[in-house]
Amino acid sequence: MNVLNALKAGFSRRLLALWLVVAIFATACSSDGGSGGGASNQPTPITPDAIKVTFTYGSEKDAWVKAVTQTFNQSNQRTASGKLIVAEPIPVGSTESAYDIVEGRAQPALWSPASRLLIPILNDEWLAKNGKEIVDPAECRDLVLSPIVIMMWRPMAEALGWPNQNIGWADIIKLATSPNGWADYGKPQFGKFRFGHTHPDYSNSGLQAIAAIAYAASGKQRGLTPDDVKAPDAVKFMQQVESSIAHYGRSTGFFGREMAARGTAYLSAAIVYENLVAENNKERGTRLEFPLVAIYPKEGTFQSDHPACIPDAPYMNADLKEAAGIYRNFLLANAQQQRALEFGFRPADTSIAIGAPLTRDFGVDPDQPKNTLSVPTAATLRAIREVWQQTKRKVNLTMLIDVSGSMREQDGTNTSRIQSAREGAKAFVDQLADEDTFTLITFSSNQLVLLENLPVGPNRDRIKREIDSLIAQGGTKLYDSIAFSIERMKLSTEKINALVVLSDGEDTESQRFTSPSTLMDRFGMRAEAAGPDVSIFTIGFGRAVESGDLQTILKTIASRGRGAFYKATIADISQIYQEISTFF
Amino acid sequence: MPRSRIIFLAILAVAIIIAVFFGVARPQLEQAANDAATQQAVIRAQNATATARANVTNIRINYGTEKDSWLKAAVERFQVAHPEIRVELIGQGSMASYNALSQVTDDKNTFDGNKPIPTLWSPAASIQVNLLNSETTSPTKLNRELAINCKQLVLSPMAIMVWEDRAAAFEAAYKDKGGITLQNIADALSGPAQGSWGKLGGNPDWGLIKVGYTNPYESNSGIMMVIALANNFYNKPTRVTGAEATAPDFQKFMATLSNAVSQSLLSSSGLLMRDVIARGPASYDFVIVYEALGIENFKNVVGRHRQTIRFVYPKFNLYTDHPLCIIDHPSITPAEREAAKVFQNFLLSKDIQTLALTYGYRPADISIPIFGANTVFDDPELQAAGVGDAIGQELALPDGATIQQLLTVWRRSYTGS
Repeated sequence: MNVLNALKAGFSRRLLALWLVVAIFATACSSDGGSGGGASNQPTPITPDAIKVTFTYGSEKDAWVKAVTQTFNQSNQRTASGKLIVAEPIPVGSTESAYDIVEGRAQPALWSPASRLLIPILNDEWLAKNGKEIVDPAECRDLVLSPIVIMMWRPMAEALGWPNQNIGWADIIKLATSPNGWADYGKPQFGKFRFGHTHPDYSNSGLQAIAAIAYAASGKQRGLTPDDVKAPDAVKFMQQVESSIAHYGRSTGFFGREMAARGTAYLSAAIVYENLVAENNKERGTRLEFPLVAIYPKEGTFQSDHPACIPDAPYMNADLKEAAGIYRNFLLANAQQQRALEFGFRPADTSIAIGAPLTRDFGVDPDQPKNTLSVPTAATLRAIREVWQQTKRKVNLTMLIDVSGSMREQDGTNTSRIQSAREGAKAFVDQLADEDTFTLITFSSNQLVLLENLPVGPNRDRIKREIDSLIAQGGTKLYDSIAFSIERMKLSTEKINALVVLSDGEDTESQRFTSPSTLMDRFGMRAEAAGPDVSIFTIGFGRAVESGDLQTILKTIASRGRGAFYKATIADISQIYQEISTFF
Repeated sequence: MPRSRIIFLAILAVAIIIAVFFGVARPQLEQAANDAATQQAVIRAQNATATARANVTNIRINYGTEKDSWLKAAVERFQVAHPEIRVELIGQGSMASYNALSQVTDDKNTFDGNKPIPTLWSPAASIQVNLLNSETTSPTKLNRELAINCKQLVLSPMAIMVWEDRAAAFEAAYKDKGGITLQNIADALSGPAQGSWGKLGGNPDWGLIKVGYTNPYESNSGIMMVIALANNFYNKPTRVTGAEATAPDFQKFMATLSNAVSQSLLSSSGLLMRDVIARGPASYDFVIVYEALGIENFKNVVGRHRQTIRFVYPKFNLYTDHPLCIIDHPSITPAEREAAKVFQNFLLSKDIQTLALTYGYRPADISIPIFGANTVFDDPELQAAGVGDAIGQELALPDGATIQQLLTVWRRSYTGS
C-alpha cells in the first residue's frame, strides 16, 4: 500500500505517521549492504556492454537448461574483451528449429537439437540456399545423452512380458493391428492400444521413431538404403505401426507430460526420451495412474546425443562465437553435467557414473540399450520421411467454429475475431493431407453443417471458400454444439478422428447440457475411460477467455477429450491452428 | 498542540533524519568514496595488466586431442613455472591440422579460416609431419620444411579395445583360431554369422558387431588403423606395397571392417574415446584407437557401464609418437620461437614425462620406467585387462604414396566413391 492509497483509505494521521516511520526504517535497512538479494533472481538485463547468446534447443531438455542457465547468468561471465555474456534459452522442437534457422526465423548463437540426425538436414537445406554448410559436426559437442524408448504403463508392459521378455516393434504391430487390442494379452480392461509419437517434421523423437520403425521393417541394423525403406513390405510395416497412433504432436515433452497426467485412457504408450520416463516417475510418483517404464526396442534404438553447435553463419561475429563457446563450456562443466543426471539425462561427461534417477526404481534400465541403430544417410532419411507421409494415419476432422455475434469484436485491433479465425482456419486446411476428410460446422444459437465428410484433396479450394463466407451473428450454444458435432461425426477406424472447436464466449443458450462435465459424461469421456475414439482440441479465442471461466470449461473438454486446449488472440490464431495441425 | 503530539512529531523528525541519512545520504557518500577507490584500483590494475602484457610472450599450440588431459595438466604447471609465457591450446584432429597447415603461405598470418598460425604443432604421429614437410618443401609451395625442430613427446601403441562381455563371447567363438584379431573380426563379419552376435554365441540382443575408429582423413588413429589392417591382412611387419594396398582381396577385407560401424566417424581420437564411453557397448563393440585413451578412461568405463574393457594388441602394430614441432613461419617472432623451445623442453622434463604415465602414455624419455615402478601401468586391474609390454611386432610404415593409396581404398570402401 502506498501513501496515497493510505490517505484515500482514510487512515488516521497517527497511523499514517507510524506507517511512515516503519516504511522509512524499512527502506533504510533494505538499502544497507546494497546487494539487493532479490534482484539476483531477475534476468540479467541486456546492457550496451553485454552480449546475448541466443540458445535454441530441443524442449526435452528444457528443465535442465533453464535451471543451469539461471546459474550461468548469475555468474556474470565475460568475454576476453570484457563483454558480459547473457544466455537466452529458447526451447523449440528440434526439426522445427533447423527450419527456423534456414528460413531466418531464428539466429541462434548456439543450437542444440535433440540429436545429430538433424545436422545433415540443416546443412543440406542451408547449403542449397547459401552455398555452404552452416554447422561443422566436428565442432559440435554433445551435451547429454538419452536413448529413444517406448514409454508404457507398467501393467501394460507386464502384460507384454516385460521385464523378463524383450519387447520390440513386432510386438507393437501385433497389438496395433489386433481388433481385440489388449484382450489378446489377457487384459481386456485396457481396451484399445493407443500409441503416440511426435510429428517428424517438427520433432527429433518423431524422426528417430520413424527411422527405428523403418529399420525394424527391413530387418537391418545398419546400411539401410532408400530401396529398403520403399520396399512394399516395409511400407506395409510402417503403415501397421502408424495405424495405432492416437495423434501426433509437436513436442516430445508434450507426450511425456500429457500421458503421465491423463493416464491409460489417453495413451497406452508413446515414443519419448528415456529421461522423460525417469522424470515422470520421480516427479509424479504416486500421483501417476500406474508407474511408467521404459521399453528399449529389442531391434535396437537411437541415442539422442544433443549436440551443441556454434553455427558458422553471417550473423555470427567473433565476440558472439567466443561468448557461445564460454556458455557451452559452462554446460559441459562437471557441476552442470551432474545436474543433468538429476533431470534424467546420461551426462556427456564420462567421469560421472550413471545413478539415480536412472535406475529401475524410476522405470529405466541403465544397462540398456543393448544395441543402437546406425544413423541413416541423408538420402535414406528423406526416403523414410516420404514413406511416413504416405503411411501416416490420416485425419477425419470436424471443425466447429463459433459464429456468434461476439465474433464481430475487434479486441482493439483493425481485424474482427471472425476475420482472423477465417484466415487461421484456411491456413489450417492448407496443412491437411489430400486423403484427410473434412467437416465444417458453425454454431451460434443453432448449428449449421456447411460441409460434411469431404475428401480434402479435390475440395481444398471449396473448403477455403466456405470458410471465407462465415458471418457472425446470434448467441453461443457451445455444449450442445459440441455434442451435436460428436454425434454427427462418422467415426473412422482407419483415421484419427478429431474435433477442433473454436469459441470466444461462454455458453449462453445450451439446453441439453449445462456444464462441460455433463457433456463429457454423456459420451463416456472420463479420466478412467476412453469413450468414443475422438480427440477434441479446443481454442479459447479473444478477450472472453481471459475471464477464466471459459478457459476452465474448454480445458476440461480438451483434457477429457484427449486433446489439448489453446488460448488464442486475433494476432496469433493462425499460429494456434498451425500448432494443432502438428497433431495430425 | 498537545505535548504527546509534539513528542511524537519530534521522534518522527529524528527518525526521518536518521532514515534519510542511512537510506540515502550515507550510501551516496559511501558510494562516492567507493567509486573513487574503485577507480584508482581499476587504474592500478589496468597499468599492472598492461605492464604484465608487455612482458608476456604468447604461444599457440595446435595439438591432437587424444593427449588433451596430459597437455592441459602440463600447461597448468608450466604457467606457474613460467608466468612470462602464456600458452594457448588449440585441439584439432591431426589429419585436419595437417591439411590446414599444408595450405599455409608466407604472405598470410592466418590459416584454416582466419585462425592465427600456431607457434607449435603436435600431431599424434610423425606421419603427419612427414606428410606436411614433403608438401611444403616443394618449390611450388614454401620450398622448406614448415615443421622443424620436432621432438617426440610420448608414445602409445594402437590397441583393439573390446567390452569384457563381448571379449569373452568372441574368444569362445574363436578360441582355436587365435581369439581376438583383426582377421577374426573380419571373418565374424563376413562369414556365416554375418556379424550377428547371436550366431557367434553371444547375446542376440547385442545385434551386429560394431567397430569404432576415427575418420582417417581427419585423425591420425584412423590412418594408423588403415595401415595396421594392411599389415595384419598380409601377416607381415614389412612395408606394404602399392600393389598390395590395391589388391581386390585386401579391398574386400577393408570394406568389411570399415563399414561395420553404427555411429558417424569422428574427427579425433579423444572425441571417439569419449563417445565410446558415453554410448557404451550398445554402439561400439571393438574400438581401434590408442592404448593411452583406454588407460586414461579405464575407471570411467566401469562407472558408466558396470563392466571393464579388454585391451588386445594387433599382431603387427604401430606407435603414435606425438612429435612437437616449431612452425617455421615469418609470423612467428624470435621471442615466440624461444618461448616455444622453453615449452618444448618443459614437456620433456622428467616431471612432466612421468606425469604422462598417469594419463596412459609411455614417456619418450627412456630413462623413465613404464612397468614395475608403481605407475598406472602396474595397476593389477589394468594388467588383467590386457595392458602390457607385448604390444605386437612393430611394423614398418609404408611410403607416402602407399599411404595415399590405402586412404583411397578406405574412402572407396566406406563412402562407395
